[in-house]
Amino acid sequence: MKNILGFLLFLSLASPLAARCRTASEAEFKAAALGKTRVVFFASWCKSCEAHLTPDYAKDSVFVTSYDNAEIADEVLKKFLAAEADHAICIVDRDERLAMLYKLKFLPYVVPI
Amino acid sequence: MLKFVKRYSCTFVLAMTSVLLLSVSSKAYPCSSCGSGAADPVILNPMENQKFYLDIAQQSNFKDVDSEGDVRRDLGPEKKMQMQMAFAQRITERLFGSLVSGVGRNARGSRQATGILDTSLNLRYNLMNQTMLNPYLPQVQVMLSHRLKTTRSVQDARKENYLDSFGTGYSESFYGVDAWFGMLPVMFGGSILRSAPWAADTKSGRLLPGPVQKEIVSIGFMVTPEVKIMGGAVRERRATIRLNGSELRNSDRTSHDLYGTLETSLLGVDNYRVTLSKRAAFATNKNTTELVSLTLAWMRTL
Repeated sequence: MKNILGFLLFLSLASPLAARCRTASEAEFKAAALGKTRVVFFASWCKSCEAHLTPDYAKDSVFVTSYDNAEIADEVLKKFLAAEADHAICIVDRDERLAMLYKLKFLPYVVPI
Repeated sequence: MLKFVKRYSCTFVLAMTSVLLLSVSSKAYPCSSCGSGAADPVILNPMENQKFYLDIAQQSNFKDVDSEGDVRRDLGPEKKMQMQMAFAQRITERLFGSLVSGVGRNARGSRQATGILDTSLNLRYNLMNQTMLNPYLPQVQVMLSHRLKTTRSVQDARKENYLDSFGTGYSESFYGVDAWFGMLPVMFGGSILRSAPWAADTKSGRLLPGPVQKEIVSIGFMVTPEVKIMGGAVRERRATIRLNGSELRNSDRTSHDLYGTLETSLLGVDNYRVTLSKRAAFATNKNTTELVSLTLAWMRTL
């Protein structure tokens, strides 16, 4: 039952979170992360994050930026994920709650989920 | 009491200004600084709002370089230990400031003296941010700082071998620009700093040092995502000194320094930096002091 509810929540949230980066609550993030295998923390000023912003990563990852605004994060994903950017899930962690939850220590930071 | 207030009034004004600036903080956004490191000791990275900084430095191997560029035996302290403290605060998304001060101990043989170091207030404003959208665009920062004379200088030293001298003996304001290409596999950058020194009364008369120009070039790369290695060179040229309105001939200074630094760059936790530098390390130097400095720094993001 819990999984079904989670899946329904994922369906309702996955679409708006995809393509354009936006802020999301922890619950929304968890719903969006269902079915994904990793969380990729990145920032527009983090050069070495490029290695994890590839089209191959797009399908299985939730991209999170804690230090960028949505517009810049969008541009970064469009540049590096190319066509896959439209399907990627991207969250702007404005209050750095996810950064704290995953004990973000450096960038790039990839967490298996 | 009045004497104390008069003596430390400038420090008080600086401290109060800092407190006022610090009280209007806002959220950090990139990219404030990755810096070339040879100017302000403490830099706020994009994700940092406040940082406390503490370092311990040892300076040794002092040798005088005279006006002809010849290296001679130094008559000052043989060893200097310094502990610097700093607090950096983000003021707006693009602007941050830091207040730096410390204490020092000079030693020669068995004799030693302890004193307060000069205090400085530094501001850095991000004119241009860097992003990986265009790695060839540098981060450009404007720097403004004021170093306040808070302690005795060589000119006013009372103890033999200038053991009680811990500062420059005059206040000095600095302004400059810093460009940093931090998005390329090998990071590099440069900065130019100029100064406007303030006249000071000394035992010998009214002293007005010439303005200084510092040019810093740095290169670095990330060894791992957590560790950055950097190195660079600094050229410092100071114009002729004026004493009681007259120019002191042949008193201009030139120094070519080298530095290397290893720094951790973890987010939101403690970071460490080791810096080894050599003053008057290469090329022709004049009216300066050759020395080797080793600094261990600890930084805590608040």
